[in-house]
Amino acid sequence: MATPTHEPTKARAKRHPVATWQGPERRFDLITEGTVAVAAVALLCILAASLWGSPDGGLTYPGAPASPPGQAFSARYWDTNDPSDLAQTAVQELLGGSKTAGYGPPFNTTSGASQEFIGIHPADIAKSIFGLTLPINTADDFVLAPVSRLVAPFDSAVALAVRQYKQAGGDLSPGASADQLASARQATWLNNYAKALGASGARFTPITATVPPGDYGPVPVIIQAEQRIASNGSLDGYFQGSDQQLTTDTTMGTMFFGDGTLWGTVATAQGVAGDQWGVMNELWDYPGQVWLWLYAGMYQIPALNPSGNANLDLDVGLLMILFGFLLPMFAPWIPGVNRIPRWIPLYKIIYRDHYRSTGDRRPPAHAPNKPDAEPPSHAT
Amino acid sequence: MSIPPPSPGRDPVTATTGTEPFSWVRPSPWLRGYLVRNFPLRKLLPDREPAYVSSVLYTMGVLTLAALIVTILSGTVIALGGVSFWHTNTFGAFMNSIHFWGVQAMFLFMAVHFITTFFTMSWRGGRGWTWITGVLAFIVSILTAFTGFLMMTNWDSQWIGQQAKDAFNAIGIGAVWNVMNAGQQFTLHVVVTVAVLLFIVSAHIGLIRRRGVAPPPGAEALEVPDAPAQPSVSASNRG
Repeated sequence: MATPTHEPTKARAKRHPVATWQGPERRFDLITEGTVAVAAVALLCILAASLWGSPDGGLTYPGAPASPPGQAFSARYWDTNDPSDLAQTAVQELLGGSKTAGYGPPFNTTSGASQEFIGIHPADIAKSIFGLTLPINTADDFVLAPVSRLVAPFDSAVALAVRQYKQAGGDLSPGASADQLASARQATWLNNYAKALGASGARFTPITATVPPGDYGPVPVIIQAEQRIASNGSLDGYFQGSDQQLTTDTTMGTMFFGDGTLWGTVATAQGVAGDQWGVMNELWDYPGQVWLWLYAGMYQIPALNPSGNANLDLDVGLLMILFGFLLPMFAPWIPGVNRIPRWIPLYKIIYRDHYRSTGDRRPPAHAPNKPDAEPPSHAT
Repeated sequence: MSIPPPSPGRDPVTATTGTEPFSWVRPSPWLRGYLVRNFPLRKLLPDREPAYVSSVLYTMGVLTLAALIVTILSGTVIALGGVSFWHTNTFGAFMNSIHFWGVQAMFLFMAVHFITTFFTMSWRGGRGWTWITGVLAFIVSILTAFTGFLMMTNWDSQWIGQQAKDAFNAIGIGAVWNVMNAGQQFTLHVVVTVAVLLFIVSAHIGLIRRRGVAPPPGAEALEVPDAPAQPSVSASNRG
């Protein structure tokens, strides 16, 4: 057979959309092949499922109690296993010192918090278009509101403490800026109490936090009320509830839990923390979202300064749009990228039988002036 | 050799030539002609293929599709039981495991398929849209798997959502796509992303069946476009 040569296609727009291969063929049947493939893959998956199951491990970390399969993180679990962490986090939520309080859009109006790239703040642009879609006031939503609703009606001391705290100022409006959450007087109480809770002499149980006397105002009563509703599970019900409907939105609880340290402790113990390639991992040795290797890997690139880059998430997001979306999408039309298969001619191995059968062991050189790819066009 | 293409003229079953002009008020003749012209049954259900396709690498596409089918079937069973029953039900846990490994298999086959088609330059010969729909299918598959991991209603999904929110919020998407909202991820996973994925995969397969797989580099001349249909004067008058 004569060596085939590439003929530039004339009048591409008028070419019939269906082409027929005129070279050697073999028998096969599309339906048969598809049926066999589905059966084979199904058996493969059944075998893997039988041998290894799937990850649903619950909460584990060194020193943790036994955790049933599929257990989710909850305020009750948190308070039971690390009441100190919950109490100190609650204080920071009142003070405006937590990660959530300082997050910015879409949770609150804390200024200067949204990430930027060459002066552009996509989160602020989204906020101007859609508004503050997920407003959170950490002082009210995480502490004062649940305590007021779940404890104060049945405990006059707590009701008095909440009233006294609110009378001291602070902005409890939805999405208030972190620096407006607590007044100067409230901040004094909270900073004093935070210091006492962090001291070595502080003692904790799931429903109490014992510290030396100090200028804490009503804060200790409020925090211990928060511990009580966390301990008996009603705080989780509050986070899961809704004023009018049942809800499947877990945002409030997740944001509160994420402000603590036990949350990260569990993740690190299970090998899914950010510096462990984060979300592409699954628990223990299970394969996870391995296909997110590019996304997770970008968080490890030294040039992006992962530990000190305040705009890291935006940088990674933009790089993902570039390298994870646009590059593969338009690879056939990107000069250089579309030549890679010519420079690394693996196709010569893949088609070795074809080239051997046609009597030409060296595939013809590609026409130098003919681009490998034609611009995509609608079928004629 | 394969079934010879029909001679230009009217298709005996659909009474179309493939040259019917588009009409907003009577689009059916055009659509019938478009489908006959672009997706003849001899291409959609072939029983012969080019000899060079005889390679395990060429099974990766159909294996990806097979894994997608297994994943959808197992996911449907899980959906019948509800979003969280599989945590405490042995049968549900087993179906979840099949679902889990189906996804892993699908991405493994898809990755090999992706790499193979890149190094064989499968976009050649007017197959640009085949490539684009393939990449789109890969990206939407990632979003589908991602929403699946976010709706597991366990610690794992809590953690992934809490971590992933930062990138979503940083680029502004988080204002409308809240990855910590398990309910939103559930509806996205079982309805939206799967529907989009199936549409894209259907287009991808249709394009592959229409054009066939790309020939080996240097053998392009052995791939012959069918003869163009002859415009019919009376085409627009047929219904």
